[in-house]
Amino acid sequence: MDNASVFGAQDNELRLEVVKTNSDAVIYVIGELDAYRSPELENLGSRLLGEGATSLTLDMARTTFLDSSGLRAMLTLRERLLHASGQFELANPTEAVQRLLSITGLTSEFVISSTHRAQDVGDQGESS
Amino acid sequence: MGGTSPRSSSSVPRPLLGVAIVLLLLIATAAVAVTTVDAENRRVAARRSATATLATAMLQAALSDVTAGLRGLEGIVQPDGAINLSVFSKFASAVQPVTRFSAMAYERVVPDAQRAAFEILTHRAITDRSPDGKSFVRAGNRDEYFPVTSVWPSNPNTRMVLGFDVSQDERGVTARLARNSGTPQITGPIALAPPNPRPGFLLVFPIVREVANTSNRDTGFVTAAFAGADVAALLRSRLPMGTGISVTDHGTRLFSLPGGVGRAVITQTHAVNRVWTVTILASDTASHATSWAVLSVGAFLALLVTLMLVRTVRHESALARSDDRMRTMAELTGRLSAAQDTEQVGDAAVRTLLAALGTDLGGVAVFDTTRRELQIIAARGIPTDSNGVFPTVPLPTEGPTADAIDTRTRVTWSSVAALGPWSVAAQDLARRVGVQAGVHQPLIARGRVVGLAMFSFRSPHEVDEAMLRLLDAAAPAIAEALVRASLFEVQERASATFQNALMERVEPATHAMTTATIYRPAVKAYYVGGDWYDIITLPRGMIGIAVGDAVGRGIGAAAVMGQLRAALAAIAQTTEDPTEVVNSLDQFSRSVPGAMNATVCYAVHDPHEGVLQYAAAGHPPPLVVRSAGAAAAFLDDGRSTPLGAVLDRKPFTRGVTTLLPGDTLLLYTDGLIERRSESLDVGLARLQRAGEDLLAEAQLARGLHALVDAMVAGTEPADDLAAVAIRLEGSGGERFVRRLPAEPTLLQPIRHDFGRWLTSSGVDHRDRDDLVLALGEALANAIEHGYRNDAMKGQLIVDALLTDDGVSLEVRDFGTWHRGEPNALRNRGLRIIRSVVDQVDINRSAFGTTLRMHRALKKNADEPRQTV
Repeated sequence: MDNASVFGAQDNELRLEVVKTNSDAVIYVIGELDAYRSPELENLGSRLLGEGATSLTLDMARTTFLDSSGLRAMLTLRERLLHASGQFELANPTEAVQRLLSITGLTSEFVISSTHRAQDVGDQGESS
Repeated sequence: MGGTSPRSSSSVPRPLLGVAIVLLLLIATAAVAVTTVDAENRRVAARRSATATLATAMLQAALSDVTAGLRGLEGIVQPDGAINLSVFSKFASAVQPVTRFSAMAYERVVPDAQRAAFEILTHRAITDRSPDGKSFVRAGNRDEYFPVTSVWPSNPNTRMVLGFDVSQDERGVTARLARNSGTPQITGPIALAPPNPRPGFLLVFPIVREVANTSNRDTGFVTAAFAGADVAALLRSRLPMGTGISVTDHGTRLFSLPGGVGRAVITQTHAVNRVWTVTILASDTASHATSWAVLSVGAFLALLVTLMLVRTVRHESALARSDDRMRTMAELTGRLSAAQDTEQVGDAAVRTLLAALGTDLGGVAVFDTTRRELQIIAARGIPTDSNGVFPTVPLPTEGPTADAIDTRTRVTWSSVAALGPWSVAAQDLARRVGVQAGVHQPLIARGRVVGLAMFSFRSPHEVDEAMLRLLDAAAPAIAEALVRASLFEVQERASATFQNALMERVEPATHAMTTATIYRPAVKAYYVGGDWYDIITLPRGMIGIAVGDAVGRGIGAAAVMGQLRAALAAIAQTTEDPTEVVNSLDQFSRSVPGAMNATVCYAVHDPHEGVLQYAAAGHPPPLVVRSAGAAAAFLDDGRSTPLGAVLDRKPFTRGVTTLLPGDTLLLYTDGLIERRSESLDVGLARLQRAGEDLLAEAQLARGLHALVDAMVAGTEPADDLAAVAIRLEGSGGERFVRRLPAEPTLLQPIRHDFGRWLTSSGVDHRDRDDLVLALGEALANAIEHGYRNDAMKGQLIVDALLTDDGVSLEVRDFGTWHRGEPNALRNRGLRIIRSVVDQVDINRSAFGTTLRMHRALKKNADEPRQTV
């Protein structure tokens, strides 16, 4: 929590929130991750990697929409972590996320966990 | 010495004699000079006077011409007392009685404009002292009232006192009608002056509009403002070289033309109720210096001057006659140009020539060649029948009348006996009518005898050379005026049938489209004009919509219109490209006399693509009112010059836009937007506002009529008006149509919008989520290439239809897909789409790409969605 920072939260379309503990980072993807907003996820993930993160978890418990460009951002981050011998996980994917992974046949490409508790990110509003 | 003295003494008388002779010569010369001065003065005065007369006639003619090209304001006094005021949408020339203004004032300051308005509504001039206190009725809080007693001629008992509240702002001087009796209403301000008032004139003249029930006569007025420079420029082109003119009204100079050496002649002209002082500086070379020079020379020169005097006097006499004729002709021409019909032409001729010729009787008849009848249209001394109509008489088989017409030569007879060569019958007729000498002047125009002018004396009278020369000059002018007026009359009768025949082809609306059309001739008398429209069914279910405007009015313009309209309909079948159609029409128009500068706007709607292509040749832009409450917008692309206007013209350009269900398209001619004293931009802005309100009506035809009514409200249209509107089958219910710019920021709103529509249509949430996903992917894909076509400004179209079969979803862009470009994202996006819908088609056309998707809906919402 102490390292939590908020990015791209001007409105409720998409909020990316980060919790960093040493080299572990969790990005909470809150709202709709589409072609317009997915570059922000990619930029944020890259920055965390540059700051020394070796484990990145996307908490997608509140990801209400995901499209191919959001998926591409996820795949890009996954690729870079694996290259750096790091870990990339998806946590608590919503039905929308699962649906997209399913229809693109990429479900097996990701480590998906439901063990990571969805962080209470407060009441700054959820996207619909 | 002594020898010299007698010589000297004897030589004394010689100088005296010489002095005496010189003195005598000088006296004689002085006498001659005085005579010369007098003669010159008279001659110069005569010439100045003639020039002044001509100049004032020209001034009046120039004023008529200037007013004919004006834009102004119009107000109609309704029978119920309301006054509808509005800005004119047309030229004053279309309002027939332009020359019958009843009040005119120069407009430089507000009080004069007020005066003009007062004068027109009161139908009487006010003097400088007026208005007196009695005629004022104060109504309201302002002091700047001036009273108006409104009278309409058919009902003299109905009078009301109105007041005008005058104010001045950046729009010019306006007068608002103030109420004092409860009955008058006002629907708008009267702008009494244009913005940025400049020295000039305000013309106010009444119009009497005939309505079906003659007991309900509308009286109105028109004002128009114009600059004195306009009149001056016209005068400059018409007045004899070197003639200067200065026009003042009550000491205020209105305008002047420099020029002229010599003294001024001051005359006056009545510009309706205003008296204008006209100072003419007639150019002449004579001066008193010439006469004084005479005094300084001797007998030889005096003799020479005397000889010159003889010539001058002769010349002067000739000049005087010539001046008289010039004056009469100026008068005649002025009256003829003001004549509206054949009777007025005849009246002008008789009135002017009767006095000039000094005859006792006079008449003008129109000759009907086929019936060989003479219809007397104006006369002095010839009785009318009980209906006040002059008789129509068969052309006599012989006599001066028949001779004049059949031989096309003038017949003069100085006594009844001179009629002998013809017959006793002719002599009897002359005696019966009571004439003893006269002249029968055939009126020949365009190689045809169109009528006869007859002037007679009650006593034997020589028809002299001066009379004949005047008739020589007057006859062609009268004949030409008769032709012009009679053509106008024939035109009125024939026009209605003609126009209907030309425009009768009407295309029915298609199942997907409603159409409404309107045609309004400018003036009731002209049921015919150059404006036209057409709706053409094209191959492949395409629709062509055309509106055009041929230059001019009346039958001539309609004949051109008919040809252009038919040609376009034929050309349209050969190509779907409107620029090609317009280009071919342009070529065709070059072979049609009178088609030059005709304008046309042609649009082709492709219902499959939802695309409208259009091209406008010198024509105002089409208006489109989008569904879903978007602002009405003009289609400004695809513009070029009028047909046939430029020999080596640039290619016509094409405009492209989308036309979707629920959209309404309006093509129109400029009669819809043109008003006097209003720039075209203002008219367009009015149309844009009216379009939003009125084309949004459920019933298109009603909406179109309401729109046209609103656009021409309170005016007597001076230009023809044609308009055609089409509306595509609407959106809503089971159809979802959106147009959006290709902006990534809009991805989420449109997804939500679409999701809400699906939910409200009862679509299961899993179907909905997949369809929303498909839409998102399709839009994201389209945005990548949606920017690339400037004409379409990066627009995207979403068009979804819910049927029993499921949901059909189309995403249309107007860009260019880069087919060869490897792009994992796009591939994945398309793969995603293919996974969530049952059918995907990609359709590329010249306009862009359409992605068509279809998904069958789950019959049972509880059935688990199969995963891939």
